[in-house]
Amino acid sequence: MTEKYMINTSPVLTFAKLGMNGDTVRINTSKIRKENVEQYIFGNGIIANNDYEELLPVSASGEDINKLLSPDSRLMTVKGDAEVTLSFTGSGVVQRVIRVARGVEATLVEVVRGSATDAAINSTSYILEENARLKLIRIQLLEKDTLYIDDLRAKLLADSYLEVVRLDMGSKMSYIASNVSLDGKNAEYLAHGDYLLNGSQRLDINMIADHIAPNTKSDMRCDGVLLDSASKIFRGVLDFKSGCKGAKGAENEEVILLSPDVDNQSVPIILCGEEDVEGNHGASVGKISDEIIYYLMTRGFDEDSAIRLIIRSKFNTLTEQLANKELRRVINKLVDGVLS
Amino acid sequence: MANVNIKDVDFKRYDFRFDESSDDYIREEDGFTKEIIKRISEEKGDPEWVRELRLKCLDIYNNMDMPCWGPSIEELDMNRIASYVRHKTDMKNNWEDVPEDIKETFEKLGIPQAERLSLAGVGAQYDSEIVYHNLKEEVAKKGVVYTDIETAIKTGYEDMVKEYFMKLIPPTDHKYAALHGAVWSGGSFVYVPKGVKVDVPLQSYFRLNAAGAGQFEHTIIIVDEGADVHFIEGCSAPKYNVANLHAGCVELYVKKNARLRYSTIENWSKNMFNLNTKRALIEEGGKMEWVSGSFGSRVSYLYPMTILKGDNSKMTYTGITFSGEGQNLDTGCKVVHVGRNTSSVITAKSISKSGGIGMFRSSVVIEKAATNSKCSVSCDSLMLDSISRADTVPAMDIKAYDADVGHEAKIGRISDEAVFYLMSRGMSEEDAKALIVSGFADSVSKELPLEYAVEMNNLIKIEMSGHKA
Repeated sequence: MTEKYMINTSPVLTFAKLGMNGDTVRINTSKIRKENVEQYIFGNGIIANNDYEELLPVSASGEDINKLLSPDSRLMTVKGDAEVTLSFTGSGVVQRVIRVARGVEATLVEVVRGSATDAAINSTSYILEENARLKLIRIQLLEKDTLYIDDLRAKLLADSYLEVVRLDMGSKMSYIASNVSLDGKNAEYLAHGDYLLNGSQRLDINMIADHIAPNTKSDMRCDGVLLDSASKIFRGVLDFKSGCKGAKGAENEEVILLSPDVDNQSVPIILCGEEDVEGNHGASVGKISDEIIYYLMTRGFDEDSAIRLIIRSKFNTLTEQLANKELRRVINKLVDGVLS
Repeated sequence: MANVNIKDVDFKRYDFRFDESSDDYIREEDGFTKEIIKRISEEKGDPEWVRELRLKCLDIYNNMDMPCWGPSIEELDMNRIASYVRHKTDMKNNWEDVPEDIKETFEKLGIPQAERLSLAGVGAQYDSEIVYHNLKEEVAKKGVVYTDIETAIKTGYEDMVKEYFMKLIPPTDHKYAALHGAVWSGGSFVYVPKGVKVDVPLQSYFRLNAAGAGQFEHTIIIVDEGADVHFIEGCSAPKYNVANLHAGCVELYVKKNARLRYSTIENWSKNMFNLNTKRALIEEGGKMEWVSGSFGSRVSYLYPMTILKGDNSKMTYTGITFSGEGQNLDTGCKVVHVGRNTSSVITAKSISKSGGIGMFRSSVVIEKAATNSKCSVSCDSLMLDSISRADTVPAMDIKAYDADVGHEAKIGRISDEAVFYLMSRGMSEEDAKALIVSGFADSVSKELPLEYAVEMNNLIKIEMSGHKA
């Protein structure tokens, strides 16, 4: 049965006429099955267990996401570095709670692949206990017939550190939502999302950094390239709650527009109920600077090659962080394919 | 470091009132009904098209939803707002002829003195009607028209008013624009002919003296090709313990290569719900400059909007908002780039203290046709304590691939490092903080004529211990 769901609704609304406060999506829920998602875990750094109960942050996707999820989640604990592939063989939903135990430091690479025309739903909550450090690299390479819903939630306890690096290249329509709750003092959250969209791809991002405890830090960065008639909306929220003294937050965006038919929307929000904080936002939207292209042309590149080089260099920053050489090769090939 | 007492805006200078005895004043009953609208229309001697438009607007108002995205206005009971209040006297063009209580009000506000010293023309509205209007002879000789809308309609400018009235802000724009269309009264009509440069500013001052009333003035300014004018708008009201409503409309038309600077010092009392709408349409090579200071009101929805329709047209917005105790001021601006090579620069400052809520809300839309356009947005918010709020909700929709858009927002408190630096140069902590807060507001005050910069500084009244502004 196809139903309409509100998704990626901003916690604070802007002018209704702009149509940027959230989206609605139609999903045939009868086609979504848990068995359509396979999870492959490589290495010994992650184990399944079922003994963790914790109140999770609410979803930045909005309340309607809960109608698409079931009460039970797969519970896992990170002990060290690991790589996980989520493979959608049809419309499906995966729900996980991933715990990083006190003092553990790990890198977790997640690759999302496959095809799901109705919806591929990935709802994962991360609990970082005291002094835990997690670097999460999430690569989304779904087929371009897919509707993807990515619901990331995280709860950061004292002195923990979460770094989320993500690349979104696949699917025809992606809803990326993240709500990171900085509950413990000195907790730190760094997010860097890259995207490369062409054709009629659309990316809808709703990122929230919720500063609750003192001396918490967040830095959300979202950079990307839009080609053909691709479109993207970025909603980012830095929310400084009363009591988060000494907190610092930043959100930055750099968007390169390479076609006259693209559409780029941004709503970078800062909410502040605490005096002793620093919140910053910066955005740069437009074409590649003529000066940079000119410089490269004086070094022997033609204009197209110069543009490709600049864009490739942006994605190299991400791929160089991947230990898996095969994954690097796949991403580089995809980037080259889009740019050619 | 010790807390330093930075006081709220001092409203005492504006918080005086004269009782409006029923013998001297006409006051409509509370609420907004078809019968009331018909009586207002009859009282004002509207032409038929105005009367029809009022009734159409009332229908639209009754069928439109409340805005869903802004601060709450639940305290505003529309059944307890009088739509029309006026003194029985007619508009005068000599202060001596203005009724004594009204004249005294404007004298306390410094309007006649400002007219003598630094203005080319003055309009003064008291409650629902303009009570005084005057334009210097040498400016009138250049063909400049400055009067109220009703007089413009009755003195040969009806076709022009009809062409521009509620065209830029249609009644369907939002619920309170529709309400305005139904009950509008007073305001300003300005026409600056081709090539005419008005060297000194024109000013309209709006005073709402009646308790539980609304003010719905309408302003139309047409700056013809190559012309240049600075228009200043001031507003204030005494404080009552019942809600007052301000829902004016300002429609500005800047023709080819013309320039308009529109400065506002808004200082409504803290029982005022300020739901004002301002919009400008800029043609080829035209320039619009907004300077805005928002200090008063209980709740404000105020976002001057500019449509850069013509190629090479420009807009700047410089605004400051001071939110004190009990205030929720939702301010900012909107710009739509339509023409090629258009540019806009938005600079906003916000100060919140004593539980005040300051919200900067903006929208920048660059349409596909607006190739090679540029926009820069900068908003800084200063929190003076932890019981206040400072939020920013900027929105951007960029459809032109070769646009150049930059945005910066900062929220924070007075920097300890800056205070320490100034203290190391021999200043006391209090002086250092006072200097920093003054500097924060300086980018707006320097855009105002000297007299109004002084007025704004009086309004801010940043009084540090032992120091008076």
